Amino acid sequence: MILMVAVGLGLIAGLIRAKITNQSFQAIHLRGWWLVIFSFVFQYLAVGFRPTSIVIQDAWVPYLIVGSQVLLVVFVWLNRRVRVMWLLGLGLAMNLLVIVANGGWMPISPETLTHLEPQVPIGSWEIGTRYGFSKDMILSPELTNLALLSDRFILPISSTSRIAFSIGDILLALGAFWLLWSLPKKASQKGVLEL
Amino acid sequence: MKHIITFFSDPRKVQLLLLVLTLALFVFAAGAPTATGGTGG
Repeated sequence: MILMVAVGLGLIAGLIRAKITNQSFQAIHLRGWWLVIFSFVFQYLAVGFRPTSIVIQDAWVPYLIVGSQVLLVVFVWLNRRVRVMWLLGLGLAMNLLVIVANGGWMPISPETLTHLEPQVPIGSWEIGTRYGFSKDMILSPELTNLALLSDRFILPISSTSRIAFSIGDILLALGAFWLLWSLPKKASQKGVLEL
Repeated sequence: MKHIITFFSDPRKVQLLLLVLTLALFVFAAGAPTATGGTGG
């Protein structure tokens, strides 16, 4: 959800930039966008939509996560000539790498969980279990491969809600923002969109 | 209703809408933030 905020902010920033600089949005055609739809549906069913994520067994979730992210790798490759796609691809690669290195789950440490859920004692987190219905598996740092790329950063949203995220997530947010920010072009250029 | 029809009759605006939607779905599927309670962040 927080990453979708980056998309919204990027769009707003791009629109403001277009107004201030008297430029217009340049339409970009993304190849293979349907791959993203399939990828989203797979993951939404596995970790986003409670009625289905309850039914889908944990043993299947890594296949759905990794499979859907492989579709995104193909999408990035098809659109490798689009500006800023390299940054989105790098963020995707970092998340995919750490997920594959840890059995198809994004690792999260008990220490990070104490920041997410301060009311829960650190010793009560069971190593090797899934955190809620997320993509995250609770793993101690010594059991985590590529721990640097795991969900280890905390963003407070409110007094009771926080978000743990990875370096890959930061790059994805920056890439989405930057892509939309860079859309305004001079009206004389081909394929621009007056908004 | 007229605004909606006007919007969707412009292929470039539809292309921008498709781009924004694709980006939003992309970051959802590529990202791995998690929120308090173990829901997608």
